[in-house]
Amino acid sequence: MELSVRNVTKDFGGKRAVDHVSFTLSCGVYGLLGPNGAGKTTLMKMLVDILTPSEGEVLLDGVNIRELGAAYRDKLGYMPQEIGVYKNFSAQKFLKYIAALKGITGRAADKKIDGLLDLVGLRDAGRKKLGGFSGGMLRRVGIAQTLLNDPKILILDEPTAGLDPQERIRFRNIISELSENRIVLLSTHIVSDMEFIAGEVIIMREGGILKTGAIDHLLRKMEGKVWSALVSHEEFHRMKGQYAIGNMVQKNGGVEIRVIGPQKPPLACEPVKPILEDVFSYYFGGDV
Amino acid sequence: MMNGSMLKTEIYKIFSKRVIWISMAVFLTLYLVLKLQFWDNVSIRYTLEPMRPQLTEAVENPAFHEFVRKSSYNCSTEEMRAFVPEPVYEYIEQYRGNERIYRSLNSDLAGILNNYFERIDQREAFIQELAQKVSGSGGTALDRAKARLLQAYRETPVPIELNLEDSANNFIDVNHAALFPGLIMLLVIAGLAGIYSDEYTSGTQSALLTSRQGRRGVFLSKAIAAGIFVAGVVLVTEAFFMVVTAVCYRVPSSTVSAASTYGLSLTLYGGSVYGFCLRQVLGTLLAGLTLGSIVMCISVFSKSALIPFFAAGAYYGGTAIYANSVPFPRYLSSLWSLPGEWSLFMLQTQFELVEAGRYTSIFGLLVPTLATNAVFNLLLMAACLGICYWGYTGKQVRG
Repeated sequence: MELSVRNVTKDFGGKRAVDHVSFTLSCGVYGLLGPNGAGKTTLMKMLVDILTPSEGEVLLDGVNIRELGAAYRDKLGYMPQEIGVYKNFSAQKFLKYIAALKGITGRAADKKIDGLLDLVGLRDAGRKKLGGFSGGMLRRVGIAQTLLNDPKILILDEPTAGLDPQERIRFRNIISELSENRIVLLSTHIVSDMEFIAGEVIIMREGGILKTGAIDHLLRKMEGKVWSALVSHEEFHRMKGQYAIGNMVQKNGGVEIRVIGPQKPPLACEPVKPILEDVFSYYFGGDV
Repeated sequence: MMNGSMLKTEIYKIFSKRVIWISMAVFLTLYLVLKLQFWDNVSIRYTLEPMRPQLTEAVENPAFHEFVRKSSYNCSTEEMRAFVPEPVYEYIEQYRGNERIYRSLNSDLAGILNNYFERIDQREAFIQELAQKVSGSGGTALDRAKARLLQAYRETPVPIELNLEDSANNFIDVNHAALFPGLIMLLVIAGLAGIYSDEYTSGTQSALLTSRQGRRGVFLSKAIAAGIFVAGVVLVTEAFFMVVTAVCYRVPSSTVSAASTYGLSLTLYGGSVYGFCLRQVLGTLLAGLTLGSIVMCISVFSKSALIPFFAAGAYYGGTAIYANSVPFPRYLSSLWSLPGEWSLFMLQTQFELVEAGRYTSIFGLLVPTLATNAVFNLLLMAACLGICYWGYTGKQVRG
């Protein structure tokens, strides 16, 4: 199974949100990284066919997804950034409706819903009205909703936003379990989540693709470009404008910083093992 | 394309809105309270219906007709004594001890008989006037309309009978009084205003659009659910109105023609009062379905339920007010009168469209204006559903 994005562009009036993007996804977990406004959500919406590209096309195994229609949607699970629910519905009733929309009815739907509520830890809250659910609980309902039709293509927009650490771990594990024989594309602001789940990342900037590749490969390429240094506050402020600064921690009257750049900075520092956040900082520098 | 579970949920989404039930309860209670004031009213409880055979025989006397005509339809009960059989007076006399009943029956006797002859003469005068106009007319649409009408008046037997009970008029008035047909439509608008826009506000649009059933399935389930809702609202409220009317005004002892009720003496409709009421209910159903389609059509392009609520309300209310303000022409509808004549309110009440025969010229073809109203609203419904389908199947989720 191959999902190809070919030269996809999206214009909103005079503004270009996605600019001639091309890539191909096969089975595995892919992370979509980029700052706000990079075009991630717009791209995802075109992938799930709720937004039509101004140019280009999205193909599944060589066939345009618009032509595939229901056959494509049958394979699709989409979790939008904002989880929408009917507040006067119980979780079970809501999921039953979504199941019906996905063509699953009767006992098969009940069985599937029970299993998914269990999976996302909402079995006891299944009969409660969604209006009383917390943000995290709603996101879990959203995950259950996405998985109802056992999708072969999962498009997840900020799936871990609003989840507490325990829920995030649970979600990451669910995705890892599901990733076999599926295409999973997820975007998140929590870069560490991406590092745990995704095998490859697609980095977007201003509507275009800045970098794609396996996380291991990107991290290897970053070796020798990340340093740790303990600097004074004055030095820190001076460096901020010149180097991409990753993590910073107040320590012993100074600031311990991760400096990211192609060359070693002119101060006492040690090279450290890069993490995905450093890749992000490296490419976006001051944007981070 | 669509399954029962989807349809069930769409119906639940509409019916689970508390505002619908509260509005309906308030509205039906208001109707009940207003109508209960007439319950057991003297003029409703005591009628001249038992004297129908005697009165029917009396009005067949041409001399009586001539006498009433000469008095400009203003004869008193006593002046009618020479023509009305004595048992009728004896029937009234038995209530002499109860002044209210006695006065009511006396007044009914004079009023009903005067009105009966007046309506027959009005109809005859109308036909004669029409005949004069036709004799000197040319080939314009108005001329042809007059000729067609004259032919219809001469060929269509429309019986004018004695209408001895008030209940027949009240059954027609259920859908003629402006407030209640409007309130039925208000329920339709309130129930359907958020049918699509609520998916936007609740953020569920993408879940619906990316599902296997897709846009067509969702559109179909919503359209059918809306139709069921409209039919439910119209039939429940109409049934309630009819039952309350039957309880408060009583069911007429004998069925009279619609032409025998007040205001319809010039009609070409030859059916009974019940037949006319059924047409009004069917008209209300079609009006509800059309208005529902308009609401859906606006809702599919709106991000808030308030927009379809006010826009559809303005369309219904505006055309209803116009229909009640503009003077409808005789014989042939004009471009000025058609917005009112084709209004949904007129489809509900039908009264002003059938009170006298009237045609609309469609590219030279003369069609009864009531029929053009039904066709116009059917076309409007089809157009709105088409636009709604086009709008939903092509929906883009931006924000």
